[in-house]
Amino acid sequence: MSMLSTLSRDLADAVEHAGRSVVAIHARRRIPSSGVLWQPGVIVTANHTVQRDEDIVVSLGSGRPVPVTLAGRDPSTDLAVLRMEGTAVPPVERGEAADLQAGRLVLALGRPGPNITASLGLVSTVGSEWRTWQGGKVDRFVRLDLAIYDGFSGGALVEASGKVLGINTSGLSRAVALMLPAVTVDRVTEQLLATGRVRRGYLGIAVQPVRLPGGGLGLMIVNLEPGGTAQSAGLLLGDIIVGIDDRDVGDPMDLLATLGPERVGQPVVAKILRAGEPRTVTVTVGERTVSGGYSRGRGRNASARR
Amino acid sequence: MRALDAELADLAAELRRITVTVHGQGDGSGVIWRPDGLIVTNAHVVRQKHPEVVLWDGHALRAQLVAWDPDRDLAALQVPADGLPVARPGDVTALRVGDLVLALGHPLGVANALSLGVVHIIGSGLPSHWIQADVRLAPGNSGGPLADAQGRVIGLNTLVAAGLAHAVPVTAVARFFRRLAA
Amino acid sequence: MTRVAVVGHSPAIRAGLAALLRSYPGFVVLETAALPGDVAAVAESTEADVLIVALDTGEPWPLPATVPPDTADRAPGIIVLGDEPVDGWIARAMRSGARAALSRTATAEQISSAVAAVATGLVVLPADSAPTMLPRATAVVDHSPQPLTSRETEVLALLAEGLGNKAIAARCGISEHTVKTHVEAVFAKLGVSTRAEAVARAARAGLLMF
Repeated sequence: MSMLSTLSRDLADAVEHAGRSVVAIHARRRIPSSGVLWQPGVIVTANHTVQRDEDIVVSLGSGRPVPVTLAGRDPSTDLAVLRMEGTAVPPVERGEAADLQAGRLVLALGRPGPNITASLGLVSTVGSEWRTWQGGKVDRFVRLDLAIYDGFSGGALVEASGKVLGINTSGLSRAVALMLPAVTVDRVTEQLLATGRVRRGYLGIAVQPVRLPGGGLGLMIVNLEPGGTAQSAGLLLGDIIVGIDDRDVGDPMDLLATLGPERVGQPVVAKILRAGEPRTVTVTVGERTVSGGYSRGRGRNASARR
Repeated sequence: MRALDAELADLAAELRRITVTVHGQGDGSGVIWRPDGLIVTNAHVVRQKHPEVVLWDGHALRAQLVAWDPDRDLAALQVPADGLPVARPGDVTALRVGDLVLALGHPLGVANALSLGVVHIIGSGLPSHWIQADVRLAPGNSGGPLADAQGRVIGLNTLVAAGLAHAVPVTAVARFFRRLAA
Repeated sequence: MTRVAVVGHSPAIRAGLAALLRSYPGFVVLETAALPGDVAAVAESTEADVLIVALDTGEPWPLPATVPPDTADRAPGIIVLGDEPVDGWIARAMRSGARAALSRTATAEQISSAVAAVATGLVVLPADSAPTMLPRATAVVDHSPQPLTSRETEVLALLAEGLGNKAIAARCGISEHTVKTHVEAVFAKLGVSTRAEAVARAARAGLLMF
């Protein structure tokens, strides 16, 4: 058999193999979204495609739709997790992290209806850890060269032998096909299954970048939440934060990077300038109440908890 | 990698030989169906009774429109020729999602451009008269061949919808020609 | 009458300053004292309203590192005269509690103006040193966004949490259409066209809490 025929057969086999773990999720009007059986009884999908909290059903092929429950959402990485009873659908077979390489031939699998869909492409770039625009941590920056189509988000990215490398999403960047690597999906799924949310650190400050006298940037506190952990620690309006623990901060993203879930309840050392004078202030990181859901009537924004 | 390249090159060469350019209002493509010059293309590519057809070797011929079916978007052209290379039809029923497909055509005036993709979707509940693939097509591709990994023609590229290429399956082309003969 | 005291290393400088000050009718020179000496002690015991500290190149810094806060009101306003460029030591002087910092080559008029200003509780700095001293509160964004309404601020905060329009509508108890209008207004006011840009711009403008 020719190499192309072999490749064609391998790709079709990969679709058949991994496609058994790709489901259609009915959680919005019009077309269903794709989801992936990540672990037994656990479905992972793109958060932005789940447009209600209740009455969600899942189907595979022309089978009977199965009701599922929403375990939790993490808008910062665009992931959501659903729980499904029974083991009719096998979980995906996972690929190695080493399989994630630029130039690798991959298939994006989706199920925006009864049928499995596939799109061929390449892994375009594999970069290092990055933060989404809401401060969510993604372990590798993986950009794909392939067409985004209905059913792409929430679907599986599969390599030529049918093993799954991660979950696809178009919700983190306009018109750029990105993928959340398996290690990130694992981390977020664990938190969502355990607590229904990904904890986010919160200090209760609003900041503006300012130029420092010696050069470089700092973040000036322009708003301080009453009762927030920053205020309790003695930070004042006008204080310029130049560093948190070992990290220089000159942009709000730098600040967000220090407020990950593992920091909630922990002390951090803020290096500040107050009227030009350097000082350090220890602040306990509070927790932001993560919303992201569709329940009615709460109406209040984030508040700090100690 | 070299072997794969070489195979792709061979496939591209074969597809080029069985593909023609159809000059009507704008350009489209066509596929040689019979050695005596019977050519299939899309109905929407053909606007005149005697369009000009150009073979892979640059030979220009005046064609005669012998059949035109706008519902199936197929048309048959006859050129005065003999011993032409012809398309080998592939097995549409054996296609699976993920199977490699290649499209050849003249998109946006670029001659003989090859695009690689896979069969995107197959199944019940779909309009059964289309093959959908994620190859990249442009207007000049219309009427050109969609081939499988062995170079057999499985469809005729007809349109792009929702970012996917839609091809009339070769089985429908065969039926179209059988009706013609009858 | 403004009472002035002068401390300095050089007798000539002290005498010169004293003479200069005496030529102004509103000033009374109480004393001059030599450095090195305890400037803090002088400051605490003096009756002067203004204390001029004239520094010499190469001599140790005579002022305490910081001024104890509870003596601040009673203490005289300190004017430090030092080397060019003033930028090199101005921050240190201000942390020591000085209210004015001038070059030793300042004109008579500048010195007398500084004395008069400090006596009334003002801070005096040479114009070209002021930027070094004051945190430059120019934000790095190239323009300040137009103010948002309170509803727009609420929508922006929810947008920053990653909520889609439908979810925002549910949370605020308004229609999805209204949310879209607010989101468009927020984008226009921030000068952006995507949610990601809106969040980044708003974060840098101090409109989001972290």
